[in-house]
Amino acid sequence: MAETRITDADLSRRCRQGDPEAWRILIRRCSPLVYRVALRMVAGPAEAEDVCQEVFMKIHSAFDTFDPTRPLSPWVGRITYNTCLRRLKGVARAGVPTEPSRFDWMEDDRQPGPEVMAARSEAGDLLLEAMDRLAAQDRALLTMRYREGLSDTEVAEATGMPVNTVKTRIFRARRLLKKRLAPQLKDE
Amino acid sequence: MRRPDESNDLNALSESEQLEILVESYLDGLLSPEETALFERRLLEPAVAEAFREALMLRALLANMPPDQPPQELVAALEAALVADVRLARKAARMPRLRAALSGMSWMVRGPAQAIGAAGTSSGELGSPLRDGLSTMRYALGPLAAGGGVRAKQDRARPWWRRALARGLRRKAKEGR
Repeated sequence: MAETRITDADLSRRCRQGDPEAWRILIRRCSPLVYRVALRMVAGPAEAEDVCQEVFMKIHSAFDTFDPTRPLSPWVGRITYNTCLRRLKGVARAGVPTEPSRFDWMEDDRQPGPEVMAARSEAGDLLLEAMDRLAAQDRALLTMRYREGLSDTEVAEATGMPVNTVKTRIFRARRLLKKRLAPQLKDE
Repeated sequence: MRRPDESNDLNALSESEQLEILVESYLDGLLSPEETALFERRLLEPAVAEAFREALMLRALLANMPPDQPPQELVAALEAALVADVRLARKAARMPRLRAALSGMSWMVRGPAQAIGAAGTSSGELGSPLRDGLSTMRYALGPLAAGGGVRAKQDRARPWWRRALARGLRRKAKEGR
């Protein structure tokens, strides 16, 4: 597809020129990352959708500050991560529980898509359950690192943490996940 | 080899932790060719093979963590909102240029007309209506040729403190007079 052939540098150049088609491609390219990270950090799909809208508005207004020689994902990841953190802090101040229910997004009234069907598998359920017990930041780190395929350095750039902190947190989070999923990992 | 924290001594970690770091480093391609060969030989050991299998499975689970894609409705709404914003911003950016050009074009007619009018009512010296028309035409087409609106001239060569000093000197000279 033509969309996938456009490099981040070309895409950002076209976006900066105000090309509507380039913005469409950017949304299609970055929305999975934004949505998945948001869904892992905030409470439920409705809030994740709000985060998506907020993030893309921020991307649009701050696009001039993006360095086109750098990849887009860490920059978009950083805006998403900071937006989610700000929301979590706001929710914490308001005294509302922040932990999302692992099946919240499955209770959506829309028709279940293939992702919902896939999530109904036992391993997926158990993984989500184990993930929900981690801190929101650790969930974001694991999602960016393993789901979105960012490198440790890119995750560090996205979260503003030192690379060694990212490595340590991912190491600890992974160990916790392994511990909780041990029976399933051994059975398979 | 990758370590969870460079400040930690690798020896301070338990054997299973060291093995996990080794496996993850192998999967991330961070081992040297010698370390890779050594690790691949160690894969025959049951404990290493088990750790390797578990790491692979956890990675596969995380990589396929649901949901796969954001809802289509959300993507469509984002596209509609953002593309409308982009179009609006583009239109707004083009407006000053167009407005400046139109205003200049109107002066192509109004300038000479006013000059002729003034010449008819007073005996003062005035430039020729043709010259006025040509100069207003230059203003009219200037913004289009330059690719932007007409901007106020800015004295960027002089720093603010020099401008302030000059202002102060002028004021002092005026007071002296």
